[in-house]
Amino acid sequence: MATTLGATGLTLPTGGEILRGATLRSLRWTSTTSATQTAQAANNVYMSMEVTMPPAASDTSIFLCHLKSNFDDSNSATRGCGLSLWVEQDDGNGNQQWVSRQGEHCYYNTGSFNVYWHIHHTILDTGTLNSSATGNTPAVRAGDQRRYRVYNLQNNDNMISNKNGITNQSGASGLLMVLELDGSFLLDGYN
Amino acid sequence: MAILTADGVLFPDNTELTAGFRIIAVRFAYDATAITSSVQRSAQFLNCEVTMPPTDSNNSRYLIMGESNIDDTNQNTCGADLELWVGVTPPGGGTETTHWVSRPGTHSHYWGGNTNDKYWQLKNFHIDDGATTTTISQGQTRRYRAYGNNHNNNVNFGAGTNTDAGPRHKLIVIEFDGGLI
Repeated sequence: MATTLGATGLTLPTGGEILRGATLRSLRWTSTTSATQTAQAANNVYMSMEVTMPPAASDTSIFLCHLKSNFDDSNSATRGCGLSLWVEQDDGNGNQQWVSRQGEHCYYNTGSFNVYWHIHHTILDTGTLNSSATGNTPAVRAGDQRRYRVYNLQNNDNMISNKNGITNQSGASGLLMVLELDGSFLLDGYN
Repeated sequence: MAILTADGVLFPDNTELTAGFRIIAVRFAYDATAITSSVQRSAQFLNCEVTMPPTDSNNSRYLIMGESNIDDTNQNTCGADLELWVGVTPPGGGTETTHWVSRPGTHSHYWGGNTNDKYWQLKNFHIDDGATTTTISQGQTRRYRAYGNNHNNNVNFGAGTNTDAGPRHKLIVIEFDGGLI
């Protein structure tokens, strides 16, 4: 049996298939050593990390996002913080949303200790609307570009993000990576 | 009807299956050894090493993920990180050069002046694009390792956590095709 080319993929002599779905579409990332090393209000603090994805390959694309940063408390007092991921879709409608916010109490402890955290966050942006359980981001539309940014929230106005100068540190103090996947990786009805 | 193109298949709805959008290789190393000899501010190999197949193209990029459980030995000030390292051998052989891909710092995860018992699961996650290591080129051999490093001479890596099962140190490396970039 020869390899045949069908409407949705290739069928191989073994009976195996390579289908148009379930492929990786694009990978973008940015890293920084630009510390936001000033005390900030308990508000959304931009952390100098942004990536713009190429135009979405299809309406069903999904985006795997991973972000990380070094944090330090500035006064060795009660502290709390969390990473946040924001997305804007270039569709002319000003669609922008939080993909996920860990929350200002996600990493938290009380007391007069000197604390550092190396915080990671992973989230799959499925472009799902109207569902608090799976995020509330603009529906993905083929040809539109998504722009992601990293922010943080803090609880006690005393956290420094993308912290540098840590003993034995080399390389970036913050990272954002976004991988566009074909939506066929998901089961129907999953989101 | 789908049609064959120079680099893949173009489907009727204009989606594509191309040679560029793929994962080239995945390698992993797991280990469950408790490491109690870590010396402060000196990278400690965590018994996790992977050697990737020869680099597919100059545009390949590597996603590296590492993890380790740690415990402080004396309930005192402590800090640690998980560091990612690469050794690169030129195409056809030659002298391997070594580089740090990512070192968050020995007190990037740290609690000073606290006498409570502390356990953490350290993570690191980074992309090796050659910028801080060495330029990626086709045919190289890239060998990745996970290291632990501690700040106060009082951290055990690969610590048991009572109900843990499976590996206590993990290293996973994925080579992505440059067509994704």
